[in-house]
Amino acid sequence: MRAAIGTIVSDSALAVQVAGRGRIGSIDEGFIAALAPGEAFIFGGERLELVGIRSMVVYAKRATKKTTRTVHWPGNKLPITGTLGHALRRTLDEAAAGRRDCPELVAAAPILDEQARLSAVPRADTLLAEVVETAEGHHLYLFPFEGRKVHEGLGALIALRVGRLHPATFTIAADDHGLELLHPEALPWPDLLVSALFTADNLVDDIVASVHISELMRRRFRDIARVAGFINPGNPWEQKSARQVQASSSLLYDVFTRYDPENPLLSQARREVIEQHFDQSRLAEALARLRGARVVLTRPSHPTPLGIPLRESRLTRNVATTESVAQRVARMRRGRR
Amino acid sequence: MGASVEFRAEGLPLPPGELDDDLARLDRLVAATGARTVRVLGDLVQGAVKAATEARVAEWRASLPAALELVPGNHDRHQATLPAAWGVTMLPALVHEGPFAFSHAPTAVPSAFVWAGHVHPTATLSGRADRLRFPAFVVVPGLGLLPAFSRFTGGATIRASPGLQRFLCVEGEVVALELTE
Repeated sequence: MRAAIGTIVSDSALAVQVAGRGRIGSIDEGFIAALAPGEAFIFGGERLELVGIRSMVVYAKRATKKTTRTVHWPGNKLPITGTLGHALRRTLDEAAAGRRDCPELVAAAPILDEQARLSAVPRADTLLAEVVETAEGHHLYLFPFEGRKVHEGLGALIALRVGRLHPATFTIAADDHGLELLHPEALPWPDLLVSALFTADNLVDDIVASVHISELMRRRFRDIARVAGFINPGNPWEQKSARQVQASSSLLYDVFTRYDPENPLLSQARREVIEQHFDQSRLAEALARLRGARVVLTRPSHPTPLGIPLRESRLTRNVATTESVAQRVARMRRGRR
Repeated sequence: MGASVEFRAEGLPLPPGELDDDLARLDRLVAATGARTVRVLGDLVQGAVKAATEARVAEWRASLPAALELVPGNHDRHQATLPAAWGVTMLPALVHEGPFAFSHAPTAVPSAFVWAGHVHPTATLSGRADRLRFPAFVVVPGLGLLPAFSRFTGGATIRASPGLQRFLCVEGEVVALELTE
């Protein structure tokens, strides 16, 4: 059992208790919170079925059903580096050209073939864009392979620049391979995905504005409020859930932004967001590459192997909007009639 | 009232401003409605009243052209220490008036419609690929729940359910989530 009692911020881990066997380990809260009772997952090499979660203990039993859901750990959330992203793009490029000379590419072949059939496999000199409509809304998937943090920043930047022309609300998800912009109404992506979208002009101003329209700072603020002593995560024997901590940090964030927008804690959150998600040199480099890339836009009938992880896991979700609250309310009310 | 003052007394430097904001909104509501009485359904203060809150509310109270009443709730157990200068009339835990009854915690009263606080309901307006959460009035047969008056109060999210109506407080406008008959 791992419990955070100090100032160092980490995700909470929950103890896993299996009927008849006691506690067999601990599990990342973010992973298990996404499962419903009755769903199965793979833990320590065996299949378990979630029975329920009570006071920070996960109750599970041996599962009979099959699953491929494997626990993830905070280490999975470390973004890939620029170098690794480059290598990934190169390998995919070779795979697209038919290379199958190593076990990994042979194993990945069915997935790559399905990706090629539904959409396209990204090449080194292209930017793959997939436009998909589902019951959820309109999705744009982009696969720059620049790492999750850069993609989160890039997503907010695209939301800002597109949102200026077409006021909209975007839900942005990102992983190491790409990003997803989910939006309620159709957008003319072929006209929007041009090199001007990736320009380095006014980049500094646009980064500040992107932070402003998105929730990246609100999320970052949670850890800052925790370190500053505003949020008590609870004692090890009565830990609060991440959801409770998030709720109080969100209220605090609102109080600060409304009554003390110049507060150093907010500046700290802004600085950390800009450092992490808008790393100037990496973002500028990525934008330069995207400006030079040939956009390959496909319209798959449903999300592709590259897009599914973004749609399903939603490791991070961030809303960025260039609409007012009144506009969003009016749009949603229209949709209800 | 004065939650940020409480935080500061605990050594957490929350910015001031929310108390002034709440009082100014109350003033505007009293002026707009011509209300003769402001009746608070519990949760008026969170702990012992700090000096800064006491003085500010006393100053506001002096110019309030209405009576101020409190139906006590679980956070008001320090009610004996409510400052005299606030001129708060303490009511019983359940107050009957015409077809209505007023209580802090939700309760059922035969042949009366109960207004209650305590829950601080919020509800989510969701559409395709978007959602927003707002404080909400919630009405079920015989009972109405008021949203928290203070802007920065966390609350329970109330989901749709048969026989339940939710009214969102959206920037000065009320939006009905369920179609009323």
